[in-house]
Amino acid sequence: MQDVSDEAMLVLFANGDPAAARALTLRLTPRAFGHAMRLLGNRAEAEDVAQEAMLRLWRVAPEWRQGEAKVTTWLYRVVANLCTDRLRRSGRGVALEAVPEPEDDARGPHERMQEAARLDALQDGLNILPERQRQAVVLRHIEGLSNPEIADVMEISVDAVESLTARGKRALSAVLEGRREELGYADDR
Amino acid sequence: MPMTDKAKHDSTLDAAFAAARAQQPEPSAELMARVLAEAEDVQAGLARPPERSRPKRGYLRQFLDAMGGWPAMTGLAAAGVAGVWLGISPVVGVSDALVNYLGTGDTLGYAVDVMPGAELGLAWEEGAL
Repeated sequence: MQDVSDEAMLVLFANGDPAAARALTLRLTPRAFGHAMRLLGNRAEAEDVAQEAMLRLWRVAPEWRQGEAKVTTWLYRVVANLCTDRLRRSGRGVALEAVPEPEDDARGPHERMQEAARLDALQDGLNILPERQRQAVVLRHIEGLSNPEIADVMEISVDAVESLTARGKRALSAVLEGRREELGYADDR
Repeated sequence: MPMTDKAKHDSTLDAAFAAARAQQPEPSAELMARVLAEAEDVQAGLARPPERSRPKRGYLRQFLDAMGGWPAMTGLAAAGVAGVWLGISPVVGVSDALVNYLGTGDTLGYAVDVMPGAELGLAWEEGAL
């Protein structure tokens, strides 16, 4: 199952294969949740969004046309739209809850705290970016998508993606630079 | 060689991105279970043959049904035609005396009576009825 593409797996799902349902859940739910978490900064809301996005995926499966779009592109787009709807409905920016740090770590408490503080600072920086910049930066630098893929997800040109990520990075850089000493980046070199 | 400001900023940001990539937020087991349960529900629905739904009925059909169907409508149409016929044909059974008083002729039925009842009252007074 691991070698089967998401698109082929979705066809298997629509044909009633229970293994495909499990494989897609394991493969795609963490991506949907992770993206929602970066965009919303709130765990409970990110879980709701991920669940809703996955439900929409299951429902669209019978009509999925192979070769037309990548499942992940579709999923990132749905997640981003759901996040945007939530942010607009609530009339707020993203929540300030930090991304929780994992605890199963062999590093010492100081390193773990520093790592957590850096992740918090990055999320704080992301939270103050305009929505589209935040989405482009997350997709490019955290999810690791290429610019053409991001252009597909956001339904904009590659030039527009480059412009959004460049502006987003500048703003983030300024936020992190203000906290450079506090976050211990000065000690790293 | 000392780092330029831009290089320093970029490396700080790159380090932050690298940390974020290395520690993607993990969904809870409850979320995974909910997503899988919904997947199985939807899948079960896909396997089931679609229910035969009754075709949507138009407003005319619903109106006809409410009235009792086409037989009732033919009765209604016949009643309408009869009403029109009664309205324009001479009424059998009206007193011949009244007809004589008012005058005979084909045009009577079409005359416009601007004072309905006046001639009837006159005829009554004159003892014609």
